[in-house]
Amino acid sequence: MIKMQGICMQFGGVTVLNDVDFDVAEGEVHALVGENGAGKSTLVKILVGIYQPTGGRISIDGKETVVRSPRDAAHLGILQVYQELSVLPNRTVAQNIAMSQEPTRFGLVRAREVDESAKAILDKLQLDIPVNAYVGNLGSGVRQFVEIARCVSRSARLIIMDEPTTRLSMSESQRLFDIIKQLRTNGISVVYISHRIDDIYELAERVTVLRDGLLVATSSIGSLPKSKLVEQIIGEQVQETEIPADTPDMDFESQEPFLEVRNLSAHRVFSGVNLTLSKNEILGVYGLLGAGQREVGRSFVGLTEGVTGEILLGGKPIDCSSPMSARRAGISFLSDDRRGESVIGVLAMARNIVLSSHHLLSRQGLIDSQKANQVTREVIDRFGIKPPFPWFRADRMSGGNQQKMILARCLQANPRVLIVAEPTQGVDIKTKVEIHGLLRSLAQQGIPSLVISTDLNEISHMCDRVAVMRRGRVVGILNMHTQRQSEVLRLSLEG
Amino acid sequence: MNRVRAFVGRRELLQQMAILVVLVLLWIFFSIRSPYFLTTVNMANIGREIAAISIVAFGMTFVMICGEIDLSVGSLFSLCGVILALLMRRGMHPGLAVLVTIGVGLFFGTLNGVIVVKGKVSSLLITLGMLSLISGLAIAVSAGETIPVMNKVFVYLTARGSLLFVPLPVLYALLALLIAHFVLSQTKFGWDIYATGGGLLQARLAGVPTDRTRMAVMMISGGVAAIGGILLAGRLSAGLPNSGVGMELNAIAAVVLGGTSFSGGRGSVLLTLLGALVLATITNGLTLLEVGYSYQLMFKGAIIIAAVLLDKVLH
Repeated sequence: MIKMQGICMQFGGVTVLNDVDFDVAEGEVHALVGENGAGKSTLVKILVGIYQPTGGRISIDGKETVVRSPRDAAHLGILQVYQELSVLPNRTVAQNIAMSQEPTRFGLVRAREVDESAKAILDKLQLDIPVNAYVGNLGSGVRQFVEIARCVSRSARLIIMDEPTTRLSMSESQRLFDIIKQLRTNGISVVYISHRIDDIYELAERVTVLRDGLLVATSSIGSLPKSKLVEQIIGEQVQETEIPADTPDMDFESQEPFLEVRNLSAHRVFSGVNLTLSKNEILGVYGLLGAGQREVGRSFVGLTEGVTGEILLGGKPIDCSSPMSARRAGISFLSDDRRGESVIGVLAMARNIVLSSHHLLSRQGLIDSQKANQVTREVIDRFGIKPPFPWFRADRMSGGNQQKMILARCLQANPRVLIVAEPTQGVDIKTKVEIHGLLRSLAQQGIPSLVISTDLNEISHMCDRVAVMRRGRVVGILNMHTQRQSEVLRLSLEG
Repeated sequence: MNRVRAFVGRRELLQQMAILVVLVLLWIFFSIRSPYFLTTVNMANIGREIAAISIVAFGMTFVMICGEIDLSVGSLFSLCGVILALLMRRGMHPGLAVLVTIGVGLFFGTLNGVIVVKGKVSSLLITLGMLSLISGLAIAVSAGETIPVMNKVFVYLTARGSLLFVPLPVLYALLALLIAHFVLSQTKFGWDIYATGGGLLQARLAGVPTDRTRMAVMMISGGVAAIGGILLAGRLSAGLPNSGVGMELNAIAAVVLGGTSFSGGRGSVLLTLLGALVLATITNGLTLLEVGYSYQLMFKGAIIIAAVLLDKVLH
């Protein structure tokens, strides 16, 4: 149906896509995978007309086409689902689905028809969402489903999903998969970008692998063993080391706590949370979406309202009422909202990296720019950030590289303890291993981490202990050296 | 050059070239059409013309890089001129009067900043209100009259005087440019400004003192508006309650011409100076060519629109 041939893309002399072929058949789920910066997002941005390729052709139904803008793409039936970003919380489900395409008579919107057609589309996708509910009152996963319904209402032929499950709970992910299967039976194609290999094997018919802007291969899922796919993505063998197993001291409960949280509560969000983190530990806080773990993490930098209780570092109570005071106390916080809360898009990569350490780079208010340049270069080398140009605008970097950049920023502030939320969201396997290794080696040096995550697999692999939350309470703290992953899940569901 | 490259990148350089090209083209055009244009006397005129406004525009650059705006600088301009003239008429020492006047500017700037930051409201709306409030105050304080400034030394130092053919006000503006550029590019405060304007929430979460930074830029804007008002009072040898009317728009125009974005996070005072030069060149050149004021305004407007569009294309 849609064929992209020899696509090339350059940004200011940097090649991000080089001679890539990609095609999607009708009613097909086509997975697009690759490491961070491999060019996946750029490729789909070309497909929806956000970028104009510097080379290559796009043809639709055998006819050569130029996609000038997202609007153009929408007319051709190519639509992208943006994670929750393009739904309006203060409008109803039906109004969101019909947005800017409302049926009218003499310029007046026909409200009943809006509701009815929304209902029809939701039925088609076998989604049970009340059409008159305000989207803001629904869970964040549901917002994404509303967006998919909107795409369908615009007679989409191809829907693009870029890492759609990163902010979904497990049951919501399963619901998403059901929706995707419904789309397929309705003859709508899906381009599915994901790092989760298992999901791809459940959903996709074919998979295309990109690496460093080049096409590695397009294969049908049935004929490609998982190990082979991983090999294609990485280009070399990597070994995921089971880190906690060989750490010397596993008795973290009896060690003197370095960071201590006493009876932390926030009205209606969580209550009576007690945590301890010793000097060489990685402590996970796990819970299903909305269990309160996100807000607990955000309490360390004053982002959760109405928090009572005490936070102690090194035995002394610290002021966590604002990000600035938390930083002064030695806390570095990594937000789970990379775009909205971490990356400053208009600034150069270099400025983003040193953002939390202006005070360390300056003396009497004067910035030592030579030192800043040196720090930036070191960070780029150490983290392997691509492209390796300090002046590169942060919003033109790929998600995984942005994540590395933000993590580097946190470390530049010389923290005594790290609070990291979803530290590896949207990053590829290799980077994930690197980030895990980094946090582990920091813990060994005496800079422990508190990891807040909804990724069960990740949390049980990287953490020494995991505090499991359910409905705003810590229902158990498990030592991961002795407990199993399934126990974490069991507690979070019924603990 | 390398150090600039490290943080600026290619497109930004291209953009700087664009405004420079426009300026050079204007100069070539006017010097061909008027033999008087490129003379030292006329250049000094342009310099005197833009000294006050460009100092205010530097302050506005700080404010706009920080993601805010200050519409009250024009009326603060007038108020400060009036207060200075009044104080000197009462016999206060000019030096002391200047300090008091700058204090008034800093006070209103700080007031803007505190209301915007503590009240969590838009600087556009607050300074719009302040524009009206302060211009009313300027008329009330002066009783609507022109207050002459008689002190010869003061007028010499703020307007008439020159050093090696360079008018003193131009020297002040250049000094302000150097300081402003240094602060923006070499100090922690400057880097905090770019970060705050680039993404308020992101910067706050990274531990940047965003509240303090925003209040400080508003305060600076008030302070430099006072300096601008003082220089203008010297040039006019009087304090006029309406001398600064529309000045805020000229300052914003200069900043925008220099490519500082309305959404914050990027910009430079060097480019603002080029922007101010373009505007002053148009006024001066068209006056020499005896083009009427109405056409001058239209031409200026067209140039601003074209520049903004060009900026969009380059980004």
